[in-house]
Amino acid sequence: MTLSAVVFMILSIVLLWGGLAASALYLRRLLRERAEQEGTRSGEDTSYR
Amino acid sequence: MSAPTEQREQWSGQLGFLLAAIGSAVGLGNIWRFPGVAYENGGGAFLLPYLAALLTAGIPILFLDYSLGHRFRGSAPTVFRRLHPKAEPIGWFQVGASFVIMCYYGVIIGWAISYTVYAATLAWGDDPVGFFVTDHLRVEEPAESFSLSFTVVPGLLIPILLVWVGMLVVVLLGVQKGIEKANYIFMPLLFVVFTILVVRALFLPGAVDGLNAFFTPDFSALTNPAVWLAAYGHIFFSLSIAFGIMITYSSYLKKKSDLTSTGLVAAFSNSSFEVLAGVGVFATLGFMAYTQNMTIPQLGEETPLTGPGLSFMTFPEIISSMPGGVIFGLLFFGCLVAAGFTSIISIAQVVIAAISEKFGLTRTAAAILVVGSSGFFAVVLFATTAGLPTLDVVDKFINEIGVVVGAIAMCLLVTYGVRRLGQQQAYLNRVSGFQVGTWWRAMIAIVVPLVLTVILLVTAVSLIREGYDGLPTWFVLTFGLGAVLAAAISAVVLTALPWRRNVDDFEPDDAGEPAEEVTA
Repeated sequence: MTLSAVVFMILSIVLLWGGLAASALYLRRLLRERAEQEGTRSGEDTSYR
Repeated sequence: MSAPTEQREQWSGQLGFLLAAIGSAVGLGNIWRFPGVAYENGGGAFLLPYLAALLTAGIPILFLDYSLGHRFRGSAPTVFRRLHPKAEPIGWFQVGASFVIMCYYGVIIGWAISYTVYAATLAWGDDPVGFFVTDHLRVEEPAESFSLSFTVVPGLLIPILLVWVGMLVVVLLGVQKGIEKANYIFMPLLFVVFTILVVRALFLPGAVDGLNAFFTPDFSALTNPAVWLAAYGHIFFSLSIAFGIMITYSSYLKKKSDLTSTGLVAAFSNSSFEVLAGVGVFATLGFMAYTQNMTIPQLGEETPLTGPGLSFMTFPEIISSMPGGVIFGLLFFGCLVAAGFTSIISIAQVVIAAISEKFGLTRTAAAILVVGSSGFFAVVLFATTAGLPTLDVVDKFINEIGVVVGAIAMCLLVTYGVRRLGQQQAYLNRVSGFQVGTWWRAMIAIVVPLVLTVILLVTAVSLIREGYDGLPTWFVLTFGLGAVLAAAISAVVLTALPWRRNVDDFEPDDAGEPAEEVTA
């Protein structure tokens, strides 16, 4: 493979799969925080997780 | 109007919604459209306009769809009516476009089912093109002299019946037990099987040459406006945005749900799958070029590298010449079926939810009505000897004109018509972790309508000047423009009919918790 093709293949994978991984981790952390907040507040429904 | 009586259905949780949203976005286009579009528009360099389109149009419209559906809790017509009573036709227009797409999309899934069976015996022999056009579809090309017979092809009926029965079963089971469960089954399966296919393709001789052709950047393409328009056009169709799907799906989210972060995951999942598909498709095409002693550009002149031609003409030829081709073929066409099925149930739900809310029908009645009538049109229009050119022209017009018009109307309505863009931004930020700023409003108010209007004009001028794909003008006008006009006329007629459920008595709870309002 040419160097430019390798660079753009890596860039595509890093940017798009990296974007997916970063956003998924962010969502997971956010939902966990919300669930903990809800839990400590009243023990009410946290099923939105 | 009678009072609402039913509790609105809900996803079991955010993961169920996320999988369904990804299942809707990841469809046939990801596998057969993106690789070819990227290759023809700069190869690796296409990544730049693609990312720009994703961040400035795809994700902003996705957020707008989510915010409208979640805040106004309804199908597209209900949501637009709640925005402003005179905006209801925009919702029905999106529903009409979805109905048309549903009719032909299911027929293509039917072809994929047939090819899954054909793959077991490599039934296409040594002439896959002739087999697809003549033996499978029995195509009759339209002529200038208005001669065309819509004779139903019996061999297409059983797979189509399977698709429609499967669709009916899923939508009858409802949002949580049907659509969500189907996505829980099909989406992980699709990702696992497709990854196996890609890995297998990477080990074929010539795969590196295919990847070389796919990823080698042609930077001169970046100065070509058509390449940027192709990127915006592709992202727009790929994400299932602006034809009511995401409005409908997000309306089933529980009140305490995160919209923007979920949207980012859905959008990047769709794009990640597209890149994976690009790798798999071009590694496989590299193998074909290797066996025929050609380069990929030479191969592109001989055989289709995108669309149904790629899947039903080029791939069968590759499968025949590949070691272990039968298994590869079964898995490849199985992936097409899975990707298509999770998309078509989302399109069906757009229409079913809208009809159910407007006419006060139960889910069962609305599902039977919508699935039954779409099945009828699918058979009489697309399962015939004229099915292939009809499908082609209807797809071109309904996607590139109908859906684009609906999207422009939605952005202009929210921004300048009812001036609710600020409210939608505040709502998104109230319920979500990832905050949207002025950039989001600028995209919805200026960039998206501007880019889509340019795309629309370029498409319209091209169609007027050059026609479409060498097809007779009468045929293009009757079925292409006819499909768009049918969606528009049905929007006017359905708006004029009285509501059987009270959807006007609704106030969104802008404290961050949308009212637990009703309708089916």
